[in-house]
Amino acid sequence: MDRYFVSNLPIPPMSASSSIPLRWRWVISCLILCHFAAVGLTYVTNWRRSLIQDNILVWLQPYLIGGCWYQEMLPIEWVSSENKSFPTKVSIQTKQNPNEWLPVLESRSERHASSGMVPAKSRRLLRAMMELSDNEETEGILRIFNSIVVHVESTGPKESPVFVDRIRLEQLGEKKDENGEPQSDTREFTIVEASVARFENGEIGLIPKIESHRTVRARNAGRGNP
Amino acid sequence: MSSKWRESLLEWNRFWFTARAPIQISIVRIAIGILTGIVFWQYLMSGADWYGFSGWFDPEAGRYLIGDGVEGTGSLFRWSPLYRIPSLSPWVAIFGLLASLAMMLGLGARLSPLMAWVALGMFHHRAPVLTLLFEPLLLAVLVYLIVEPGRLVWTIKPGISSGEDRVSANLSVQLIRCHLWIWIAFSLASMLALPEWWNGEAGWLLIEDRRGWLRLPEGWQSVGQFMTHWVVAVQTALLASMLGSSCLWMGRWLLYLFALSILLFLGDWMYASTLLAMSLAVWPIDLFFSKVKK
Repeated sequence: MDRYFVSNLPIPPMSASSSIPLRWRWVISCLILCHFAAVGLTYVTNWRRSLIQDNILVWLQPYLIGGCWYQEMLPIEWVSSENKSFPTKVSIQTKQNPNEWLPVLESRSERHASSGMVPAKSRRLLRAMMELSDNEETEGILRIFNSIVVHVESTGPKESPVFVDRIRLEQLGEKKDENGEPQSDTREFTIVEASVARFENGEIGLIPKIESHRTVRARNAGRGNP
Repeated sequence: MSSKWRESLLEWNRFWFTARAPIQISIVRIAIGILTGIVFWQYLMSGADWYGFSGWFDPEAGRYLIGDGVEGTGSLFRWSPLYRIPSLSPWVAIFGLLASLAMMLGLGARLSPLMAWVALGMFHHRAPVLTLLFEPLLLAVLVYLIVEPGRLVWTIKPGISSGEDRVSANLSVQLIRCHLWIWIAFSLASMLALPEWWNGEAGWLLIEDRRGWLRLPEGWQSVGQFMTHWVVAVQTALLASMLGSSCLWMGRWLLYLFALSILLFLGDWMYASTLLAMSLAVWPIDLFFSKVKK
């Protein structure tokens, strides 16, 4: 193994022979091969997947998921695809400021670091929402909206409670053409927007703007109605 | 059995089952202990804000995104108690912080990386979609450290033995080495699957995103393109150097360049540090080894 080390400095030498019995070496070798095959398969399926891979993964779930080897939507690549790399943000409209959209999560914002939030986590959350939007999983986005609304309302100042009226996920297209003008297909646009409905029992619900027939009920924010 | 087949088996045997002094894995354990300590400190500070009952990503949203109750999603195997008891988050972070401290000091033998893995696994299972780049790597290395965590290193002084050679120490080092190689290989493969990494746009998009340390004025797209190709080239060369024994020395510098690229483009110093810590299994710290006599 010395050949793997490049230093001229003395390195602890390794014994030539192994103290592990041959039978055990075979067992460990098989385990190592199976382990790296499973890990490799997991990484491949985050990139491209087939039906056979899916079936194997489902069969290996106790080991892969239970052992934290399985990474759904693994962010192994730096840039997933162009549209997901555009800056995104979640903004809210409150009862207090009905005409103003206040950003609460921004993929480009640097203010999170100073306010104690982990900026990378907020980027991951925004990116997860973009992935859900790509898969037309509006309900998933609304669930996340619910938790954001509850979080914003529960962490606001006690003396003047914040009541969220509307919430939306936007993508900001800042790709410019040669004249410095935004390209027509990359302008800022709303991906999902929802209104917050408040029920008499104090619970809140979210009504998506596009599909107004679907209402996702949320937990009680603990504030009652405004 | 043909001689080539036999040679391959012997090489395999030599690669995995040769005894090794536990000093190298001990240094990896210390480095990983420091990093997991930082991660748990961050979870202690902001974990409740994220995973609490009224956090940015509450248990209800978390359950929905793991496909709770849906067949085939494997949600059954998400064993984090943070879904049921979100208020446990700071205590899990403290538990992990203590385990990291024990790892740094070389206390608790295999128990300390196991405890750190359990704590980090709880956060991971609570919100797999929020997993950051370095977290799967840390989780993997913690498992490999359970195989052999090495010995207490802080007390080792020049001239004092670092302990007997062990096969488990070698197994642990080689597992980390192989995992690092696979990770970089898939990182590169997933990049090359996208046209942005071929036409050079990816670098500029990342610079525009202002995530990393690199800031370039408008109109400097060509520099961004050059740097995109640079990142791909560095990763390719790094993988090749890790395979060939004769050019392994080059790999160390390529890894530093790769870590620098991560800082410039992503600004993710935890990811860069985790890669550097794992690389200690491939390229040991010479200075330290020069002082420790077997």
